[in-house]
Amino acid sequence: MSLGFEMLSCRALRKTYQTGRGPVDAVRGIDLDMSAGRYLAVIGRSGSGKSTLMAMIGGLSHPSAGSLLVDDTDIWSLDDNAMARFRNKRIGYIFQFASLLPSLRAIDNVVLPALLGRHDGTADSYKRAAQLLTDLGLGSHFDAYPSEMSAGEQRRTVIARALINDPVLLLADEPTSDLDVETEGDIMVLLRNINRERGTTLILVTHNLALASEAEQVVHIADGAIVP
Amino acid sequence: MRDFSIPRWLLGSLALQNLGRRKARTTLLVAAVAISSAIVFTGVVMMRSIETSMAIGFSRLGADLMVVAQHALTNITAALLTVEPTSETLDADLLARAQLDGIGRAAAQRVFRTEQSDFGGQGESVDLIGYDPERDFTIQPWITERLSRPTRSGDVILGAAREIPLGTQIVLFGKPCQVYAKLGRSGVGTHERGIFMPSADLLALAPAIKQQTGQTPPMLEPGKVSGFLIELAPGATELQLRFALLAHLSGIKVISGGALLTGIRQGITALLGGAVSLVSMMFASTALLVSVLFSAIVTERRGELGLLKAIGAKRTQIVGMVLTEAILATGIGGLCGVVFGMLLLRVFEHSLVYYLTEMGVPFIWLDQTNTIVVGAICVSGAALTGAIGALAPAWRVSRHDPYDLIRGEG
Repeated sequence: MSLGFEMLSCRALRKTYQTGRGPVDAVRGIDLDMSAGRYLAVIGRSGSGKSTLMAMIGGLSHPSAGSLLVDDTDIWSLDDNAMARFRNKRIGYIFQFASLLPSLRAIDNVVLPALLGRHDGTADSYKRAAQLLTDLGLGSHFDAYPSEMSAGEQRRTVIARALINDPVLLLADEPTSDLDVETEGDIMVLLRNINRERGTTLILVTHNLALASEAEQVVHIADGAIVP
Repeated sequence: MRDFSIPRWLLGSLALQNLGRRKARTTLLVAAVAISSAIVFTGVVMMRSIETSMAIGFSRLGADLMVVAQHALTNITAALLTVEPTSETLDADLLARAQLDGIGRAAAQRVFRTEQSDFGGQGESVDLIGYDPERDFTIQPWITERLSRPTRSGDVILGAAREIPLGTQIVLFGKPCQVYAKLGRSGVGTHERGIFMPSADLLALAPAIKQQTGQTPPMLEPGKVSGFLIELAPGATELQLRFALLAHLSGIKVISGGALLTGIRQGITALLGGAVSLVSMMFASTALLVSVLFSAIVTERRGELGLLKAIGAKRTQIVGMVLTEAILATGIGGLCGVVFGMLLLRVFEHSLVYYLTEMGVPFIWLDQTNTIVVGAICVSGAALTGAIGALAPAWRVSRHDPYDLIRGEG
């Protein structure tokens, strides 16, 4: 599904890391456009630069060069507070690692971005978090701590957290990398449904070609550049 | 939908939970701050108490020097310099005329010994001592009990050896007087058995004394005194002033007080100044300790802090969370330290202070209100030290890109 306007536009996007052995180019001049509401898969081998590209698109890592517009906003020209607000309100992240705070219950983890952004009252934010967890099949896990949940349940909790502020762009970086096949399938169905039913633009980073096959747009990256 | 509880301070409670996650490290941090806080609290309360005690105690030690007429008798073995009864006198404006730099305070006294005062038993010898209430520093500091009203004409102060209750009316040369205050024990005869009154009151008795004895004693002549008690000015030495007095004034005798005690007084004053520097260094070293520890803590938690930034935490929120954690830990440490310090003070009270009091050395504890204020300052100071110590690491980590922190490179 495409909503017609550009969600993402990057030109000559580059990321260079300075290391003890000299500069290393992780991303080398990528041009990429994506319409709102679409589902884009970024594929490539480990170390190809796809996670770094995702981090720049998501406002997590400064590009070394190039331009980047997300939802019509030149995000890397924003000041610290505006960038924090943008990340909080417009973007939802699903990381490839267990990213729940271990000392918080599932519902507290989900509500955290809403509390950080102070969008609504605390009670309203908790109601929304509870609804999201219920929608994702975790209605009986509100009070569970991450250590009391399975890997699949943890990943669904992370998805609920990514959706709490109703983002326009959902970034999923290898979201099923450590899950069994059955759970991986469940999570992918869930993400696809969010993209279709909510119209949330979805970018999925994966090295699994089978998972990428359902995407409306596929970008293959190798050695920091898009492979035609 | 299942019920769930809503925590009031989720972001604030994160700091508490982080502290709870590393119990051993948190305990060590709290203990380190508690030790510093206890030392500072105990030190400050003791210092302030010593200062107060010194202010009274050293005043009680009396004068550094005494100036009397050349042929006057003096008690040179007493720890406390006092003017002995004598008929020899000096001009009341003698020291004012000389204008010597080494004199800090000078108090004139008139001492008149008589057996005809009507006080006590028939023919009882009594020392009537007149002092200048405005300049006196050797009599009033010894007052241990007094009536709860301001002084007025006709009031007298009795030495510790006089067993007469406060408020009692006594008669001196036919004039009624009231016992206004009593002195503590000093072990010096004149001081222990004397009857003290302002010089103006003693001079007012002169006509009655003349009527009863047939003559006016020389020290009760206007413009005459029995002697002067002198406290050295800061930085002046006893030897310098003694030479200056003898060089400028004739017909006088200069008696030295305890040179050792004078040295102790000056030494302790310098020590108190040094103690303030030590307390400042203690706070600085605690801040450094907290800074090093929180550098390690934020390094260990880069991933978590990066994640919080990634989901929308502002830099101020990241800094706030780290500082809250530091303030909580060091504030709790400060509080524990103050409680521990109070226990230490109780131990001092039952040991050192008890023996000092037994030996007759006055020790006056800081009052309760000021002790609470010092405790509150110690707790706030500890929390502030924690905040200052953690500020640099927190600020540093908040500047990094979330992705660098998540990858462990921040």
